[in-house]
Amino acid sequence: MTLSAAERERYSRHLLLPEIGAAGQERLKAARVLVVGAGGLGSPASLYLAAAGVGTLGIVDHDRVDLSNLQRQLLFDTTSVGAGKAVSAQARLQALNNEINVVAHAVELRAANALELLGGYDCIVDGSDRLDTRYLVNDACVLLGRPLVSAAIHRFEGQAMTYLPGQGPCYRCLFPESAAGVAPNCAEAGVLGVLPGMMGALQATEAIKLLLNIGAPLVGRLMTYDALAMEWHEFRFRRREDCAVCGVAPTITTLADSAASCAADVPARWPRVNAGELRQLLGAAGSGPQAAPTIVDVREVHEFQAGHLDGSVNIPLGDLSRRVGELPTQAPVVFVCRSGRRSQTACELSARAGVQRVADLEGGLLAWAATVDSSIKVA
Amino acid sequence: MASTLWIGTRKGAFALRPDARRRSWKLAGPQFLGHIIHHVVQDPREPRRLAMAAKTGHLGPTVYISDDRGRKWREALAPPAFRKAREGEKPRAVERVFWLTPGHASEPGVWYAGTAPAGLFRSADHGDHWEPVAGFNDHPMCPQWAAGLRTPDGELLHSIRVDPRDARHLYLAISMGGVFESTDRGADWAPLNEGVAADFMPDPTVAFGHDPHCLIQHPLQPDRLYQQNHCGSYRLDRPARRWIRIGERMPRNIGDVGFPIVAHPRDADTVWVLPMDGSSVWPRTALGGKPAVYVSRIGGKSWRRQDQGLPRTQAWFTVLRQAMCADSAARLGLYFGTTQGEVWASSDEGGSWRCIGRHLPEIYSVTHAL
Amino acid sequence: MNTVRVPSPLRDYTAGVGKINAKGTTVSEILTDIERKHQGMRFRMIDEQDRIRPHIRIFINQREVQSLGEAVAPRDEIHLICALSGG
Repeated sequence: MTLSAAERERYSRHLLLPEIGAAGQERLKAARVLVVGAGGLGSPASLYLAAAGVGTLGIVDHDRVDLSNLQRQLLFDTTSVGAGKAVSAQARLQALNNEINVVAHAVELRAANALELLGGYDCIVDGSDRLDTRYLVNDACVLLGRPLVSAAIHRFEGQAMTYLPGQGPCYRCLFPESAAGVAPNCAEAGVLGVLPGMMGALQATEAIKLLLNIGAPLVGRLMTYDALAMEWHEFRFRRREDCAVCGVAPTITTLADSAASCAADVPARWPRVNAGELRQLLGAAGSGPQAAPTIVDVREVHEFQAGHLDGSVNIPLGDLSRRVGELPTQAPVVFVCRSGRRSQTACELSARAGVQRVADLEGGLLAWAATVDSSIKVA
Repeated sequence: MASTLWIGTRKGAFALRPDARRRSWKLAGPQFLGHIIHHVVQDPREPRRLAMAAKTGHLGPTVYISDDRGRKWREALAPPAFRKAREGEKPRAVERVFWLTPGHASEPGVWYAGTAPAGLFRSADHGDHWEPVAGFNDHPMCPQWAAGLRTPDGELLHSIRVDPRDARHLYLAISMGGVFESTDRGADWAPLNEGVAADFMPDPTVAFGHDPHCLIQHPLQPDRLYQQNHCGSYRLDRPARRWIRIGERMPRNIGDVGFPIVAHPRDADTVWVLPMDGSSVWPRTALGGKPAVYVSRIGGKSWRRQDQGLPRTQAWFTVLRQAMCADSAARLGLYFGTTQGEVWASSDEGGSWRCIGRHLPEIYSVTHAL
Repeated sequence: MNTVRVPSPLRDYTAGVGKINAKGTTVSEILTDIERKHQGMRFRMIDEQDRIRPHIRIFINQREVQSLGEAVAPRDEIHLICALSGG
């Protein structure tokens, strides 16, 4: 992705920075960032990301612009009141920088669409205004292996943190709700209009650093801002072994919306095979009428390249919704991943898309390496 | 007669107050905007007193109390909380206060509360301080009765009923767990589920493990109980112990699942239900998108549809267990609130309905106060 | 005496004040002292099994508190942090 003359001029102050330069600016141009919520936080975050030249910028918001938003949501002006936020934001951001591609997602982020939506981006910026959405975005990022820059505001206070897959704690490690879909709603309250400006700009800063791989990210650190005291504080927190989504024995392996009210719902379960059973399934192939199952490895490409099962095909989880048509609808499909978490999500996604015989490898390739074949390299 | 409908919602509490002829209703509130309000209950012994069961956004479960008819509220000084877990015991912490019941007329100041996970609590000072009812929470069978089978809002203890003839005689229900009875002020309890279906259990004739959605006791005829269950609607006339499935008399294409069940306060044989779709995947919305109340005038032996004024088609709301009630007016008023934030009223015992409140958050409870 | 920072959702219990004083040599003692001065506040942070509620974190200076028995030094600052959810 080389830069045009116009781009070189537009980004000249970035090009002067040795930490960015032309190579960094090209990285930004090639990057895809999704901003969840075009509100107080999403406004400054997306404006700065657009100005900085992030090549593909997605905006998710299903709401409309309200007059009371204008006190802090700088994406919109008085003429935008009543218009859809995603489309309105797209126009504003595109006007700010016509070199980039702004994608409007005028949908409500829900368990059913979160993996597909977030899976199409390299980095997620969460500026949503609901706690259940925060947990949903966090869980989706953990399941997909995507970095997340999260921030929240209330009255005169702000909080921010960054999650990097495999490198630090997630939002659920910080505030450990134990199950998907049980987060309560937040108390509605006032907010100082300029407060999200501080926190949203911080989010854009973090996202740009992550994309360029420079500086020290806010990983394992909670940053808080008190506008009245004019104080910043930083707190250290660790990954929880017992975290429901990123811990060693996660209980959240698929996404769920906030609970509807009733009783006696039995959670859906997908059949699982253990490593020994999978070996038998594969070994029997070719010798009998039983067709071998299609083995789909849903890890990221670099994980797959480091080592994988013979004959398995690689469809990273984030791409699965788009590529689910490649799977047989009648013949058996077995999903595998590192530890057996992403593969559960893959079962759910593909079953919903009409793949009828899905199963996954219990314990993932780690279990395969431990019990069947220790020569496989599991990244 | 001053009258208020208290509306507990997923986002706070509201009040609807009518003019003298109950023609027009005025909405007041919200109070506690952002908190989940499960139940708002008046104390019939001292009508100026009210209690409210809540789960706050970030700060856990609590009870709010008012002694001026709901104008001002204050938080309980010691909200319901389980005792400290003993060595080797599974620690229990109240996640939400779900249900409130004023105590017996002879015991002013006494209240009972039901929580998720299932716990029974008692206050003797109008709701300021709450104590666990050890007879239930520490009953040797409690870990089996309340086995932690969660409904989406948790394992709920609800429908606490105090026999108006005898302060020692109590009923309660657990979703999931079943109906239980005590005759010694809560010191000991026994299941009371004979005859109730439990289709979802491996052994459908079990003694407990059922899923009652709502249990009521008639105030004038306290031996008459009704129960709306996950598996049908039932009547029980004590001292009998075997529930009769009155839902079998409902039209087959309607079925007999739902959440609330409401009796006429002056006629124990008149009872209303609000059937929900309980077919295969349990959508639990109004059947076919055509909501209707069903009334029986003869204790559930036959039912009549009451849908005049309700949406004719494409209305897919749910009505939760605390979200239907009757007032006590001579011309009886009936009310229900929907998960889509509408409040519906009838002033002719269900003959016709009209919407008296809309655009509220998801409604959890509708209760009447004088 | 230690300084305790109170997040805005908990300031209903401190008459709106964001910085209070409490004394104690452990987190538990600090919380007891807070409860003595601001009744009802402890239960909003700590459940009946002495577990910190899911949306509350307690920090001694920068360090996350894992157990209520942790020692507090005389000049340590205690930060009570509540999950915020606005955007």
